[in-house]
Amino acid sequence: MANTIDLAALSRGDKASWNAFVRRYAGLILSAVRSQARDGTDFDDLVQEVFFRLCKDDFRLLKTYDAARAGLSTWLTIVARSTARDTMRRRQPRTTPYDAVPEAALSMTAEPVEKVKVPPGLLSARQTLVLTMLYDRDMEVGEAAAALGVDPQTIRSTHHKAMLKLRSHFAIDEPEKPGSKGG
Amino acid sequence: MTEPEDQPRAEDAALWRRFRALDGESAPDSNALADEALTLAAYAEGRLGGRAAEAVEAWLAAHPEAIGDLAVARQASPSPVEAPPAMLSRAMALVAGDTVVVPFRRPAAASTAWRLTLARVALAASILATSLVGFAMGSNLYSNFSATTESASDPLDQPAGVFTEESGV
Repeated sequence: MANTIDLAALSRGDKASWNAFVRRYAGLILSAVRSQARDGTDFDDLVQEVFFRLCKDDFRLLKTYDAARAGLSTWLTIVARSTARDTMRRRQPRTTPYDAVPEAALSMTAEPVEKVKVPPGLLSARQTLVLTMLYDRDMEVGEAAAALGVDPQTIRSTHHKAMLKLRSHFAIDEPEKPGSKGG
Repeated sequence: MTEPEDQPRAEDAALWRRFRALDGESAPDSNALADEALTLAAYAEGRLGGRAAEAVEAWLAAHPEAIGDLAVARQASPSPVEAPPAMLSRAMALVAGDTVVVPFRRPAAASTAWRLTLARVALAASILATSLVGFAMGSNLYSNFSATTESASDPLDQPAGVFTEESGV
């Protein structure tokens, strides 16, 4: 897809190339922004912000794109969502809905000082990410699998192995469950 | 579809929180992948492996708000929705010829300079004119006032019987 747009001419500020680029990818950027923005958000401004970010400072951001590393649609989607996030964060006051705050953070009881040290690399990056998705982001196994582009069983397996490591480290016995699968 | 074994266990969640609370020191450099949209895009397309993928996964664990980008990016197609014409025109207007047009208009420096100079000259001229007129009026007024005072005793210039001793007022 990228070869239908002359990126070199686009980066030089060629008007015709820029117009073609806008016509071709405005829909994709709008879709990406919509998936990130909340209801009632002015999508026009967010889309304009994305295009402005691409062309400002002599097309600095656009020039960082390398077709050999990733597809243009994928890259633009990530840029659009990131820009939308940054723009909305600047506009909105930093508040967190009460229900979004983990219960542990609301606890008023004094937590005992943890004396157990966690060795670096106890969990792999993938395991940490999967646990983050499942517990911090409250994602379903299917959602996590879709996000990482893997099979749901891979997520369950990664989760199971990670929990085994944590239980072993914190010396917690795994309760026996008859017929239980890994996950 | 959610399998029964996929339901999060409270014990596992608590263990994860306990680990997170202790693992803060080993958190990856949060700025290592800042603005690395291309790296994330490569990861989303499955082009990364080994240590490169691990670096991205570690960064995502520290920046979970970007996790959603992966799933959306994988489903991205060139034209999933149609952008309205006004949106297209507005975006196209960002680039005019060989230059990038800033979204808001700024006055040219040259036009501002001559207008400012003209305004200053006009102000100085008005102050000078006012001063000269005032001086002229002041000097002439004194001499005119003196002349007027001398002629005031002429009975032909005063109304008869008004504010004079003969009227008794």
